[in-house]
Amino acid sequence: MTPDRKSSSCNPSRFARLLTAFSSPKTAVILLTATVVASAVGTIVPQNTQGTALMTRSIRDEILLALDLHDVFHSWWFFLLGVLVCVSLVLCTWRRIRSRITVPKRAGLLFRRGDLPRLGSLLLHLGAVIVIAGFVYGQFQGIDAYVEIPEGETVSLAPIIPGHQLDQDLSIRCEDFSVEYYDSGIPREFRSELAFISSGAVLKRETLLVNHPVSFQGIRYYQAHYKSLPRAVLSVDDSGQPRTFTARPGDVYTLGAETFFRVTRVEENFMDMGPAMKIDFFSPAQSGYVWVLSGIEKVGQLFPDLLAKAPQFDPARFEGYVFSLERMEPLYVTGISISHDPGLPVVVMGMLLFVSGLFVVYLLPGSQRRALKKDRIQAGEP
Amino acid sequence: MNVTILNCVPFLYLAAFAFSVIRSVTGADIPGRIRDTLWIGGFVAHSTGMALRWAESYALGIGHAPLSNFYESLVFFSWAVIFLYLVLGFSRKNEELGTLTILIAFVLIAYASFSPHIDSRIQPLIPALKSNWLISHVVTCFLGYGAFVVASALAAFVLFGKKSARGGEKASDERIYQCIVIGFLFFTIGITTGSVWAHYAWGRYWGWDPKETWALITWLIYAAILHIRLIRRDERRIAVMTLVGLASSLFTFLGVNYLSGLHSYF
Repeated sequence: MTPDRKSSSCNPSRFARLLTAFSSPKTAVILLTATVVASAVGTIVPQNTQGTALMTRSIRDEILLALDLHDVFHSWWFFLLGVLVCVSLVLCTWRRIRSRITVPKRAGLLFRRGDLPRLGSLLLHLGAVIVIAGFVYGQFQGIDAYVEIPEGETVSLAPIIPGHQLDQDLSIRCEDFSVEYYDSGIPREFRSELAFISSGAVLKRETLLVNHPVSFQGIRYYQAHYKSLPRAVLSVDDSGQPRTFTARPGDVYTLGAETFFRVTRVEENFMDMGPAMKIDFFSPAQSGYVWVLSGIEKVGQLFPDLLAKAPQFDPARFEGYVFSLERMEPLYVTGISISHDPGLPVVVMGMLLFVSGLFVVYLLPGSQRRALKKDRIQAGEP
Repeated sequence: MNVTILNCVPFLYLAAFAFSVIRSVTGADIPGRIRDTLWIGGFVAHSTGMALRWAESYALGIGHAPLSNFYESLVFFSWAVIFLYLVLGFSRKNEELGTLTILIAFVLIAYASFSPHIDSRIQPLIPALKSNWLISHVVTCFLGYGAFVVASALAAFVLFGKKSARGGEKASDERIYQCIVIGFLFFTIGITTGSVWAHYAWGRYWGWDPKETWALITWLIYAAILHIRLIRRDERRIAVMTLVGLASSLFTFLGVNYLSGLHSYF
């Protein structure tokens, strides 16, 4: 390798030596080993538990916090390690290119046929740098959000993904969510019917399935989770036509002038007596609470004096109103991951370069043997 | 039906292993031939069993490639080890290596077949696994693991075997290298297809999930081995690193289940 005479600010031969050292396979092995150790630490120390560590603050926690060990993969030192890997890769790539250019007899022709494995090696290392660069860019510039939408409800997107150039009025409605099961009870499909809405108009309707994301205005939506919340269908008989309500805890319904009730709890299995709900009742004449059990008749048969002893279980506790719990109708909430990664095309390009470089180096007929031969000649073997 | 056939395979491999040992000790010709018949027969039965399992899953109306749970992945792992041993063409050159390879394939499929904790029934695919990327991801990863296992068997001979059994240091060094290169290529494609799948299933191609991270660790270890070889061709050092790589591969495959993560179906 010829010393770089242009960099006259420092000792050229020292610079060249540093360059050679930092782009050498030895450095590569050291950096790869360091990344291995760091990554292993990141899987063994529980991640994203900074919160509890900040609460307890034991000596162990202090050490872990100081070194960012609760979030290894986003820590400054892991980032630094990535930068060092990239610098080594870039220097290695650059040194290869420059050694081609500066060898006079090959001037004008960067690579010859026999140099294919070397070209492959160049592509491979360049590809690796591009992958890392694209990944880091995506980490900083990308969107990674999560939203839960109960069936039938609409959620505005602007507060969830702030700072992104997005139709500020865009919202998503989950029109329907369903789970299909196999006969064995294993889930077959999770399905969200979504509507993208802006300024009151539905712009697009899409079906969202696991493994089949939906893309809208450059942002991707993924079926990530779901949950079902207990919801009660109840009726109130106030000596007229019984009225039916569907209620979640917190819902308030008006029954008449200054008379209303609030559902405070909905339980799928209350004290092993089946579905139940707790209601706060308010009227000018009377107020209080009542537990409405769907199986109150059965419980009453088992304990005949229940209502006398525990009037809070009497569905007719408030005069003129009889509450009954008709059935439970779970409310599904769909969990949707929202993502946008501007680094993705860069990563894909880098990966294509890397894999094609790998194939050129190792799979072209004879290339591996030739590369080995060169290695051996360099190592001074016959 | 497929499980019946696959349950026979470990016995064939075990018998092949036994005859292989007899052949090594006595040097006689006939045990060698019996061994070859047994393990080729075992491999044919193994392949048939997997193909039947695939067909039977369609007959059950839940058709999918037999690569979707722990049982199926162990069966395929065992198959991949034998397959790579055959493809890499070592069978005639090094009989001791064959003995060890058959033993490893036997252990893998015997564990799958006889562990009371492993369910061998064909199960339907949960939504997360219903993807065209399932086959390419699992096949490439396990072919990678298979090549790493064969490389490690060779490395074990370098470290612990008799000198005569290795067929000269140079030769086994080169063969370890070839196996690692093949494994590295497959594993690279396995990680790539996995990240494409993750992009479609989870909304990110890389998320530092324990399984992903350990796959990266394994990949980095083999990348380091390929670089170590450029510094100095020290056969023993490469052999030791190959075994470290195997430990990491096995942890990626099995150990990660003890850490929580998204890959919990395996």
